Amino acid sequence: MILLGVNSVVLLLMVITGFITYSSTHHELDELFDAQLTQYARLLDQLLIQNSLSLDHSDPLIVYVPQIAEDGIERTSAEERRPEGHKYENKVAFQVWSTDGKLLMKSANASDRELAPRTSGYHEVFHDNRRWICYSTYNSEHGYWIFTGQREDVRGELSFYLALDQLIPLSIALLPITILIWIAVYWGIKPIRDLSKELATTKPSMLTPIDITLPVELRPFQIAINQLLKDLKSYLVKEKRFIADASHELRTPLSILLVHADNIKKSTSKEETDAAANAILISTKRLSHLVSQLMETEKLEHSGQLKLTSLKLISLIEESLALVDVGLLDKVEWDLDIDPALELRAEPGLLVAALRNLLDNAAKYAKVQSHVRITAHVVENKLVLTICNELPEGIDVDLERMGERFYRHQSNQHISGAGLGISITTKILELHNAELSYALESRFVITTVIFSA
Amino acid sequence: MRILLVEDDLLLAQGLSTALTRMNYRVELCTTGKQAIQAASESQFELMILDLGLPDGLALNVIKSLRNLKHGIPILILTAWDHLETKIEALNAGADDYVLKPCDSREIEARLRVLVRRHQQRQLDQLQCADLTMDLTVHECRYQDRLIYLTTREFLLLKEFMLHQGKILSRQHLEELSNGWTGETESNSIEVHIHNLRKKTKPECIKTIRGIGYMMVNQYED
Repeated sequence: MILLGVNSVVLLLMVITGFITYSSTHHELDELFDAQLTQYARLLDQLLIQNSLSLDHSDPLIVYVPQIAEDGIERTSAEERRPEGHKYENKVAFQVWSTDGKLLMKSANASDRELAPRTSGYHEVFHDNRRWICYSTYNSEHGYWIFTGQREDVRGELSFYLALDQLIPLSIALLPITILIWIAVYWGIKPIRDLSKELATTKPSMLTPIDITLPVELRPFQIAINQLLKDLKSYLVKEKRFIADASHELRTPLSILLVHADNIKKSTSKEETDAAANAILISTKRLSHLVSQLMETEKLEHSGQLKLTSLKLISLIEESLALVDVGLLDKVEWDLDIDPALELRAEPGLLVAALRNLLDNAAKYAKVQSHVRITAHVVENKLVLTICNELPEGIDVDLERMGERFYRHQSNQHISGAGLGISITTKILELHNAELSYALESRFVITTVIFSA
Repeated sequence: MRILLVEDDLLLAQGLSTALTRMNYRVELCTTGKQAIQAASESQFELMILDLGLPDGLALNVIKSLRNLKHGIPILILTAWDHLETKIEALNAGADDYVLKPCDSREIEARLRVLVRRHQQRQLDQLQCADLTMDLTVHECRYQDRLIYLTTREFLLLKEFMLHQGKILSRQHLEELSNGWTGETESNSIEVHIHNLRKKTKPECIKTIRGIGYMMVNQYED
């Protein structure tokens, strides 16, 4: 395509050059031949004035012009120069007319009609379907008109040949130019070919960065592609992880549905049917909760920068507490120790959801009627929020696994939840440039969130 | 046949337990790996169904611990983990089969029957002791070609005797088999079930070994 484009441009330039040459040559020839016509007329006039030519006889004086036929055969200039004259003499003519309309003198190739109008100056006229450029001049002293003329096609032909002479070398040069352009294009686009070959062999499962040496002009392109591949890879890894996690977590509730549905089919007592139906109901709720949490996690995985606004921490905590399940809210005593002036930049909807999860968990894993203490203070320009709950007897937590996707404490396996709450919370806090950590002191779990300034 | 089900998800465990009990198995439930090792060490089970993701860690350690203790119980892994590496690791650690959730309870029953059959070096699921035959696939028992009706506990006990012909089965084992961990524990319940079995078949087929337990004899006088 590049080659075709370049050749088309060269051809177009040649056509334009040819046209300009033709026009310019034609113009110059017009000027030259027009001047010659005038000179012929003046020369004839001077000859007539000096009486070197007699116009007294009754018949017009015919000046012989050799009749050399144009046979279309190309000959050299020397061959064209014949002893009797030149074939082009037929294309130049003159006439001398008396004022009363009598033809006095003419070249043999001129017609018997007046060659040009009786108005001094140049004229373009048609004779025998050919265009002639003529010059008319009047000698008022002796009373006659002189007309000189030349066929226009001579000028056109000359201009065409001159333009052609200029274009022929260019046309001959076109083939080597094309080859050279092809070679230049072939070598010039080699790095692009290498790049496209690399891209073509890149499999979606690999997406390794393109590591080839490219010219400086193509480096930004390579960097952009590599960045895109990196982003794609990370996106695919996230997708793969999501699918693996989701399919893993969906298998157990689906098993419950399958086994209990089969049990209903084969049950022999109302108790068995009720137990299986109840299990299906609980499992369906679990599935629905799990799916919505998975969707939420997936959404967060791909969310970019949040739109943060300055908010009072105490308001966020109060809003989050209001969303905690009533049963859990009443299970413990809530102690708040937060300076009402404390502010942070947050996306309220998301942060409230995250804080609600933390508070929810604190209450879930707290001793009945124990105190859950929520404090906040500023340390080294960072806002530190802590939630402290007392574990019930017989319950241990695996701090290392908390926050992992799908991790649920063993005492909490039977109730709704998929272990995604803390995972979502961690992600939301990351988006708020905050860090979540857990510590265990005696029987107290201390959840700490540090918001960077 | 007693099965130890190790599954932390109670809903699934209850469902499986109901399904397998209906198929004449005695199912005991553990929810952690620690409980599973203890139960397998202290009681006699024909097979263990083990979930890999247990609250106290990956159950691979349970398999390794049991095999280190030279415990030969067949282990059927029932899990949601669909990773090739995990499967290979579990089988290499000593598991006998690997079933991926979600799975039909009939498939689980068929697989555990295969595992027990292989473990007991049997070719078929049809047990025979003189005129007494038992088809484990359809859970049927015939005496002298006549179909005999057995209660769940009677079927469980007779199957256990037929699986272990010529071996003494302790009274404690038979009680655990009959009643389970949570069932009734009347002192004479085993005697009642054995008496019924003798009545429905041939009194001589189950022999009482005083102070120890009972034994099925495969050669008895008609």
